[in-house]
Amino acid sequence: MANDIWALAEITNGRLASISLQVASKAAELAKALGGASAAVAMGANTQAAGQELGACGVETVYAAEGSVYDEYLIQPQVETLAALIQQHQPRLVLFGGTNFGRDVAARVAARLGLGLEYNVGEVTLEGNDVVMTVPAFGGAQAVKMAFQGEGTRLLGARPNAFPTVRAGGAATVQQVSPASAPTRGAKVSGPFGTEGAAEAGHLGKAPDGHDIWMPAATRAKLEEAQIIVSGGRGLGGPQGFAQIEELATALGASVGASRAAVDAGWIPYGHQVGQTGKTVKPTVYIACGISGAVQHKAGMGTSSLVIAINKDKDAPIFGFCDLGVVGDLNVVVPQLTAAVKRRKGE
Amino acid sequence: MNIVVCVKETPSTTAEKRFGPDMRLERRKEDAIINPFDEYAIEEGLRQQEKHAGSTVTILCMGPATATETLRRALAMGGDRGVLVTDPALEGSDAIATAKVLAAALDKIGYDIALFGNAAADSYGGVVPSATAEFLGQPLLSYASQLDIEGGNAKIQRQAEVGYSVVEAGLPVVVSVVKAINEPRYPSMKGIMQSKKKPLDTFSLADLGVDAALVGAGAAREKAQSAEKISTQRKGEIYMGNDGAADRVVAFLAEQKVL
Repeated sequence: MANDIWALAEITNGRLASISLQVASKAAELAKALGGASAAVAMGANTQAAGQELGACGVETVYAAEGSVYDEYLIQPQVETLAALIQQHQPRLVLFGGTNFGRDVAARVAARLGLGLEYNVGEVTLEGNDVVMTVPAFGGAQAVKMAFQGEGTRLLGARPNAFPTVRAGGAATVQQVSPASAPTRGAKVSGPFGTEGAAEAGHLGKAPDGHDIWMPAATRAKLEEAQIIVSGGRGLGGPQGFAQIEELATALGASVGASRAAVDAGWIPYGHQVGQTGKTVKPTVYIACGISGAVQHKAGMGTSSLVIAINKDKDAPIFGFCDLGVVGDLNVVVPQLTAAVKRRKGE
Repeated sequence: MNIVVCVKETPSTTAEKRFGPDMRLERRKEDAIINPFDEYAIEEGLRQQEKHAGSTVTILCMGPATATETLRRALAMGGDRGVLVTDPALEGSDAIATAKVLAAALDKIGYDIALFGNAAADSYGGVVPSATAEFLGQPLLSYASQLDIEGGNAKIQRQAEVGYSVVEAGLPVVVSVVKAINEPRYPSMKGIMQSKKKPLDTFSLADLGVDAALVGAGAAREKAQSAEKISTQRKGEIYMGNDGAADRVVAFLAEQKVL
């Protein structure tokens, strides 16, 4: 009721999105601090399994609506179910992940029920009983503190990776909810997932034996939208060097960038080029491997929130504008880093 | 086919930005541009018009009275007429109130397809297309990287976190597009000249029958309290050598809440 905090889970074709665990962890934390109950709403296929994962992140209840309708139509069935649950239980806050799914569902629910909605939230703190949100503005140059006004349930959209996943190890009570019926005027998901376009950008170049090196298809966010970018430069020594960049990117859920030197050498296609004559990117973390950091490269990535550089030349200009610089051999450090990231993520 | 493209006026991406005393973004007329994401929606509207003979393209904008200039710039790309929804009571409206007003305007204009850019460059909320679809009671085809309209049916490739899916709905429908969908044209000299003569209607809230108490800063459900500059000073920590470097990077990522 008054201080109940919920999380909207995102399930696509039976797969629970990782951001769901982030918002569930935060919902559990906030509910505890406010003395309310925590819950998550899981709709689609495999909600039982999703319920277990969400429960492990501390939410006490999972409202599970199992049904194929959620994958057969875009957003509308989820809106029906979530709106009905909100009306019935009147939670104080519903946290959602700032993904395409989260934005589409939350916006429709907010419009339907006349609820407040905030998005791109990077941090949530409690000042007494008040919820204060921090939202970046002007490309991250400023942090704005926001509060909700008035009464009623409020929807809060979290930036990806804003909240850590905390697997406290609890078990949620899974409460079955009847699935929504098919909308009369629906947006029907009629085709399978395609991978064209993603593959175009995924050609990493040629291996020494002549065969093409491809990224695993369709797993990369566009560079401009990526939260994490692992970039490679001349220091990689050749196209095969991008294989270890690619592995690190996979472990981090990152996209792959490159310096002009690597592109000009033909190690990776132009679409990956970051810099003045390539793309301008602004990820949360930019990891530059074997990139010296010419001013033209800086022009494309200088406003990244965090810059990590790995380079064997201690005098490389990149060490002048990084948050963490490793003076070392990337052929040693990058594979170790990939392994360490996997360990940390429990993979 | 009646095509309506919804556009937002945003400050130029290179303009110096600051908050006014009311903690809202200060918008200067001379910095105003068409939200760059919306140019893709305009272009798509024009391409659909070329494919479907007899179609009309209306550019719809909610903004200050001076946004007529932005609308003219949109009409220089093409399209038949502009509609500006402007009213002093609208100032400070939140995203949901904006959607309510756009929906009322779309209902008044009439539409088979309402096109949006997927987000605006000033706020990057990306919630107005979906909220507008809800107020209209229509299906939403969002994040379209391809749009095909045939026999009263709209079909998109929807950009997803992983690849894309195919989604379709009968008209009328709301569609939001991503940049991958096309390459917006530059206005030609002829287009710029013609844009000055195109009809441009202005609607107030009363014209749309929207209660002024439901929009504007007073009705906004979110309020900014304060803002502070984020230091761009980089930490500049240097770790020497290979040994333990990977662990230091992971610890750093964890400290920064990335891992």
